[in-house]
Amino acid sequence: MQTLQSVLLYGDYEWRPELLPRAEFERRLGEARRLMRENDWDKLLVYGDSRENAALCYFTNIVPNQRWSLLLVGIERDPRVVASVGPRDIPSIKRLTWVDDILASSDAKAALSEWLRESGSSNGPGRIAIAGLAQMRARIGGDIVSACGGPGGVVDATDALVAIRRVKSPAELSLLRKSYSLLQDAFAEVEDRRKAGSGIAAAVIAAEKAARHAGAQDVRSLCRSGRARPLAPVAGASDAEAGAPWSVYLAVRCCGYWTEGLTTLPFARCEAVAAMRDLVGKASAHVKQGLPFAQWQHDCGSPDTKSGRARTSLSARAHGLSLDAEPWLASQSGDVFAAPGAFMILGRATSAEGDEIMESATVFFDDAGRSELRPLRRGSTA
Amino acid sequence: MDEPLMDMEARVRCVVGAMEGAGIDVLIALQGDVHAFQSTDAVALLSGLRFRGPSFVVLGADGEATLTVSPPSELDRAARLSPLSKARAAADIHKALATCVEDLSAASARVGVVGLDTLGYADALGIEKMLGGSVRRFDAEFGRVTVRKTAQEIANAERATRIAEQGYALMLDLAKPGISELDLATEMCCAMATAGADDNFLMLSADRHNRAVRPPGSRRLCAGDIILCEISPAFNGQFSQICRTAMVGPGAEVYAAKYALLQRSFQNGMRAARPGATVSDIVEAVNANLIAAGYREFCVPPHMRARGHGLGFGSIAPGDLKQESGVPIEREMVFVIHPNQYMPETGYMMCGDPVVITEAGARNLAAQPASFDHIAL
Repeated sequence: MQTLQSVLLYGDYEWRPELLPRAEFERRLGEARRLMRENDWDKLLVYGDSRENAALCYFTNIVPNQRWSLLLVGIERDPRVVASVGPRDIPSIKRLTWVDDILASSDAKAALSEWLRESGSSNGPGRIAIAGLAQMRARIGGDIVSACGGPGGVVDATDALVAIRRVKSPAELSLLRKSYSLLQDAFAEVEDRRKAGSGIAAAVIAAEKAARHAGAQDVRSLCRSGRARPLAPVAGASDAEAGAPWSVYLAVRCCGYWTEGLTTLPFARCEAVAAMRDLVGKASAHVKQGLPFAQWQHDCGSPDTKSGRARTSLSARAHGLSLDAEPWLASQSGDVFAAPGAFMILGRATSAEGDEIMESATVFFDDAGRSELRPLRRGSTA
Repeated sequence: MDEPLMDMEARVRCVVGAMEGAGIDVLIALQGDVHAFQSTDAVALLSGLRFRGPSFVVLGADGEATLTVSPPSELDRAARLSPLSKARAAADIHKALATCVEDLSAASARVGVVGLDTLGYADALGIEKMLGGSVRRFDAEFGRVTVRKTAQEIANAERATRIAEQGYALMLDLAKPGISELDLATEMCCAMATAGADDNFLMLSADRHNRAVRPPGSRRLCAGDIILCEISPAFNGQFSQICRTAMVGPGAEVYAAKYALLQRSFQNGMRAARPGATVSDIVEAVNANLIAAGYREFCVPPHMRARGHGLGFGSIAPGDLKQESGVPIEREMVFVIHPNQYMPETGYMMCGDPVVITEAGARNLAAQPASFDHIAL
């Protein structure tokens, strides 16, 4: 879910080889090179910035805290990272990644031209594939495409790299579980604060603080406390409307991996909320490895069935390295619940009072095909 | 009689006047979904807000402005909080923008564009193509006529400064050997968010001998560390910044003596910062004291970066305070002056406060000007 992007990410983004060993990154790079050979790409550029960095983080562990970084991959030579920082920041960048060759430069065109010269053949740079081309800021994109010989010289590799990230390794699953545990703790903090009489903004900020102290690299939030209002950034949230149910969205990043969840917390017994929790619990339990998304929706009576006075929908998407780039599963695309991975199951409905009711849970699949349902709030069925 | 303070209506009038002068019928002000600390946000300048997704304002020569926001749920905030009366939501902002540009092209309107570089590459390329490859970039003129903060933005900068000072006071309370930079930063950021900060550019790092300030990391504080803080919260979208230095435990006299040099440099910079002066006048005033003390060779990168900078999200005028900048200082500019400096005897130290330019000169927005602080063990 799209949140308000901060101007500076702060958190512990240092590379932890004990959690993601060099061999894991080399395997990923090997996958990228396999793609390069299959598609006749001579070079691969992977772009990431503080806003969207899933592909860059997947190959390098780097999450730029502001500005951008670029991974340059050739078929044979060692990869290079170009980071838009000053030379005095190189030691900080080295701590983020397993990649040894790091260049500090804010001039993408010059850095790329130099690398192409170093690695080029007499026949020119060859076919260059770029992941993240569309998301690059306009000027950087223009510089990079120009260094590659113009738009005709580049291929968009974004989707191909999303595809190789889809199946999660045991190490990734372990980090996703860790991330989800932090998320559950954060939601527990929200509930505790609410019971203690806190306002919604204070409760959400307390949840962020608890998650960060417990090891989260980043925490994003949206919340709503007014009737018939959409989710909004915390600073814009009003605590004024007494008695209105809270809806809270939280996302937690741990070692690069995001997990997210939504819940609605009424102040009194609410049939619509109870029904939604029941539905999400049952729908999550029904998720099976390899089950087509369309079949799952059909089996669970969604989308858009009318249940009493509430209009209900069920959706799902994978947790991963991005809050935006991981696609929602779609029936028309023939998507399935692929294993191994982790999927957020999200139910939404509009109550008779006009409040949007939301509840989510997460289902993990391991590489043996075993599934595990984990509700957002510990001890509940959904 | 003093000219009245700027407000949003007056700002729009200034922009429209500049459009007229440039022969532009319609201005499209764009902002992508990447928000940067030191780049102009044209949508924030005209709407008073920034949004989760890309957004744009279409401003006509008659001063009529329409704000388009994404994702659609942001319309609620726009309608409640922006002074612009016309706002709409776009489920597909790219399509909305394309339709807008197509309509303007069909009407043969002379279109100016601001903020194109904040969009993604594909979107920017698409707009350039639709406008026939002859996009009239209006960023420079737009930047020139929007350097003055509104009265509300100045009030927001003052509030942001109070919040920054609260954050620093908390840091002084919590810092002790063993606590990590990140845990300190988390406490500070969350306290400042509770106090109303809606974003924060917080740099905080510590070492016995610093070369520069860094984002907070996992390093744990030790006795004798010098803690560097660049605390930059935003309140209602207006940033402020204070730069502070503190020592964990009692320290050698040399730190306080060298810090006094930086404080004098700051005061010199403040005195030079008045309407009619230029950025280079301020830099010269800041540097003079340090040069006289024998630090000429350290008044250049990498021993320092700039002597200050503008504070967004709206206008970031007067830009970086660098010797080569001839940007004139004007009333109601808000920026930070920071003689942050590496010295061989002490390492890098930070000393800076935000100022607002008035007819009488620069006014420090900080209640407690920067001092060299000791944290008792």
